[in-house]
Amino acid sequence: MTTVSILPIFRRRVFLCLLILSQGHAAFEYPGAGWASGTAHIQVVGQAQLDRSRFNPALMDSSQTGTIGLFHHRLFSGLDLVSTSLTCALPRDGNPLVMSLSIFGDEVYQELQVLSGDAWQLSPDFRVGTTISYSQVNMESETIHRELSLSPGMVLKLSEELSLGSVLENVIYLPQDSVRAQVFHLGLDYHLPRIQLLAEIEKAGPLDLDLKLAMQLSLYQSLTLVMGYQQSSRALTGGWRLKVGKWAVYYTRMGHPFLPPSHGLGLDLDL
Amino acid sequence: MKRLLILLSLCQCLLAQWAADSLLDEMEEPDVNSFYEILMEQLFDTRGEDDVRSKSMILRQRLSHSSSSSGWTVLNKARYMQQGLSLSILLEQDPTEAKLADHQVITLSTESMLGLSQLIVGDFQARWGMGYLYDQPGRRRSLAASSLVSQTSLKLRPHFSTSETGFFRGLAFSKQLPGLTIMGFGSQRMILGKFSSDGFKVDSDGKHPSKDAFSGQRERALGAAALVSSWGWDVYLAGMLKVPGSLRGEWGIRRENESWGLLQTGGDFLDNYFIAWNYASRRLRLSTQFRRQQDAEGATGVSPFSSLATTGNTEYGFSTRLQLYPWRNIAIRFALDQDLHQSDTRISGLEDSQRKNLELVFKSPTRKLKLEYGQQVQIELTPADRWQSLSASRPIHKVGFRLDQDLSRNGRYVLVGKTARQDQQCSYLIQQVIKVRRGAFRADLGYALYQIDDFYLRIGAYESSPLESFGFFTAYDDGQRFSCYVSYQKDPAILELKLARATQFALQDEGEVLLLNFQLSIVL
Repeated sequence: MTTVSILPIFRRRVFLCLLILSQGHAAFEYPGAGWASGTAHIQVVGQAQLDRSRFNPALMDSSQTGTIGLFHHRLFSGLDLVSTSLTCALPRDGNPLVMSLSIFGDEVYQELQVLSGDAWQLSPDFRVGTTISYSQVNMESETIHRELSLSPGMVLKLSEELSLGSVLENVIYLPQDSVRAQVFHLGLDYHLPRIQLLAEIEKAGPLDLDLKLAMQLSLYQSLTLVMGYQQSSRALTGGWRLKVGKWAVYYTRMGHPFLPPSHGLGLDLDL
Repeated sequence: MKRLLILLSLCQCLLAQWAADSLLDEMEEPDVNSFYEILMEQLFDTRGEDDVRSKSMILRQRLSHSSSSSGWTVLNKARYMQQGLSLSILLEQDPTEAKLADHQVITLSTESMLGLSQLIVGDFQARWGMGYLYDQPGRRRSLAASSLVSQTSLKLRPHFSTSETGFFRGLAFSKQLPGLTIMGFGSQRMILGKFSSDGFKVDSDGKHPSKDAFSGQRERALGAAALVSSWGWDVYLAGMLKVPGSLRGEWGIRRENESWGLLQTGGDFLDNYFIAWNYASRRLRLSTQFRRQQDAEGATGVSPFSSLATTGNTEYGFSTRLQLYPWRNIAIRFALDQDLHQSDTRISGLEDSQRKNLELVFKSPTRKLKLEYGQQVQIELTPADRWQSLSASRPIHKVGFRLDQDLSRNGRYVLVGKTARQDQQCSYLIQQVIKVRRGAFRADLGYALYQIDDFYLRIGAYESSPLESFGFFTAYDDGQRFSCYVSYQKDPAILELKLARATQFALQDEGEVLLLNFQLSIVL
């Protein structure tokens, strides 16, 4: 009996260590990734859906419509880890705004993040954006870590089909002794009328580069399928999205070679 | 939580307002009543300069990998300039370093603020004098005649380089008055390094693997300088107090005249000095320099003119440069460097050296041919040699050529040959490059084959590389090197990719070195 009760706690401890030290590369670092969790967590490029806009606001352009979305993610079923995020994108003249509130964790570890991001069009083919996020991490209700970080990003349109994006995640953070990982993302987006190919390389801390690939198929105007692959964790991801009128509902699944699968469900509403 | 959200939103709105005003007024009529304009007017003396509204932004991101360094280097740099205001940010992560911003530079530089000519907050370089105060990497001798003199005596400039040494962090200013320029700075910087039995050793290569432990040592510096310009004479005096370190001073006198050129002299207060003269006309550039280094790398810790490979503590040096353009399509360059030890107080390792270089360049509309010859003589002297008046002279002779031949409007062929010879040993390098340019694309394909007998006979060559990255490689042993450089330019971006593969024949698989360099540049 003792073994049964200790095992989940032990697994959580291992998970927390991995999360905090950022060594759980590619498996643990994307709470609240939303629709992008179906595309191997490629958030730096792609269509400006809510989760991508909150990661790289430069994806939002002047045609950005007002959208609000709720996403619930059950990570690695069996670890009791859940992530829930509420995100809102607002069109504004010149510089659209995105705001997000997300909660992630379990009964041992809780992380609350409040994020706000802006985008600016500097030339017809070049946009920059930045997010400011406040995170509060509770560990076993004993220690509370508060962090403030800034992550700039950009999107460059090379042609009608091809665009390139990058994000310097947590490039500035406070306090300085925080263990927050600084990550460099560089992505490429090649899109045709029905097919979209996404690729991203990610450099987190001293770890080697991680390569992520994804493909998005638009079967009908209302139905979209995605699949992706992440090199470091050898994780396969997939999902579908159904859009009816102003509403869109989507489901994502990430399979991991060693951990239980993760499931995500989201709902977006155009304002 | 609600208050926090509101506060964050307000911060965002303020940021957005600032950014929109400062970055987007290219597309809109400037709003003189905006918060930004009022702020600028309050902070900077911009009255009367409304017409001079130049601004630009440079952004550069680079990912590079070399199998010899087992990891990736990530570089992000940006500079934003407007109305004399310049903000420079540089972040670099070397292979196996933990942070994206292991080396970070954030500098704000302005002109005409608070009545000053220049104000820098952040990381900066004090390019003062010829290097007696501290090392001046940009003042190394080259084949160019102008490299023997300093064009500007005193200059402050923002640090915007991946070099993790040779700069200050703090505040610097300059003020120009009629006939007088004064400068000053205060700096405090944490220098990383390691403690050993010899004390603290500064980590000079800038690489801090996450598995290694580094110690920090605080370095403080105060500097002041004054330049008096009167009746065609420039006289400057500069001093710097460094802790740990000592107080150092440097002086210099400069006089420029259209008829006889530039005469310059300078030194420190430890009996080190130099005298240089530079003459430039349409067909002739001539310069010469004499220097005396009493205590190279001794008391001062710097050795601005030291050329000898050994740690000799005294040296005399003489250099001359000649650039001749007898006809429009021919250029001749000659360089001579002679360095001699002043005394033989050291037990061993003394050397005298002499270098000569001659370069001829022939140009035609479709062709350029460069021939070069160099000779280096290093005389190794031991106490026994001194007694017996012997010297072991082993001159190294270098001969090379480079031919650039246009094949068509869009194509060019480059052939480079270099040899180095010492006694019976000989090294050679043959390099061929095909350059193709079509529309926005450019591609350079290169191949080099080399046979290097000895480390002292190693040969270096250039190959196309992304902007502001190191494009020089040194060939060693017997091997070959393939390189491919591709660039695509579309306003406002330039994408560059370089791949290279070097092989050392004797080492087979272990002798393979792969290199990848990708760079994105955006210029607005």
